[in-house]
Amino acid sequence: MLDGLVKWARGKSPWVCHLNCGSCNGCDIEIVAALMPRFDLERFGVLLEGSPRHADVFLATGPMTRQIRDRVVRVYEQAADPKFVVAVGTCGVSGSPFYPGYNVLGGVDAAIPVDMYVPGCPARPDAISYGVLRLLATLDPKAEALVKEIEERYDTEGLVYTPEEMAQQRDPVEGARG
Amino acid sequence: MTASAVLYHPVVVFTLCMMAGWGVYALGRALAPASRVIGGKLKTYACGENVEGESFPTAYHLYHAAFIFTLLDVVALVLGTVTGTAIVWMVAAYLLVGLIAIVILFKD
Repeated sequence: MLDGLVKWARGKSPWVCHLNCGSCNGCDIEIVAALMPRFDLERFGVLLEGSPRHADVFLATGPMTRQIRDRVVRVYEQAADPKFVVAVGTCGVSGSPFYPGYNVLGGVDAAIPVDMYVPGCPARPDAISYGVLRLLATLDPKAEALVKEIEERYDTEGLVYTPEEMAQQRDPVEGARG
Repeated sequence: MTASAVLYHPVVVFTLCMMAGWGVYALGRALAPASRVIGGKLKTYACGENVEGESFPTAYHLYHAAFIFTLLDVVALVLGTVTGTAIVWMVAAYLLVGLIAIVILFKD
């Protein structure tokens, strides 16, 4: 019962922490837009939190640069378990177009594990909202129902990728092998 | 001694408050996943920077000034809140202790 209660509470109040790994600020602005009243991520209990110590979800933007890698890993380690990472924007997903630059290691997953990928340059606020909802759907059955409803009403193809889907995108043969 | 007198006794209230606080803490510990101390988890959060512990001088440059202000605050509080029915010699003794403390402070 306690596990169910914890899962319910976590699904209803995911606090997000914005992590800029080297972004141009395009996706950062879209994250702000996703949190503002027009898209209103806060209606799902999402709250922007300054410190990773209090956050459940990282919204990570930008390519993973050599300069920021150790800092990102440290910040990730300092967050409480369980923690989730949403890579926002094409740079956060793969490092493109900066990868393989001399100072770019790839996407966010070059340093920390990613739970959801939201491509786009910049990622659209509705895609970010959908990505966070997909993440919440793994915790909260009501969010899962909402995701299904959204998918029935709108074309969500290519808006968000799970790690498995991303592996399939990157290497269809390896992805199919699992 | 009535039940309410026992319940409202400072020691009982203090114990109940401690137990309530402990209960909240125990609930949090029971619900939280097992802690994994990895990498810099226990380090001071400094926006990802690797902050090392630093020593700082422990000289009490302004200790005397701070302490006398505290003493004077307490003395003023005693004088300001003393009631007409208070035992005069106890108030005087309290002020005398404060005065002795100030004298000791400035003895050097």
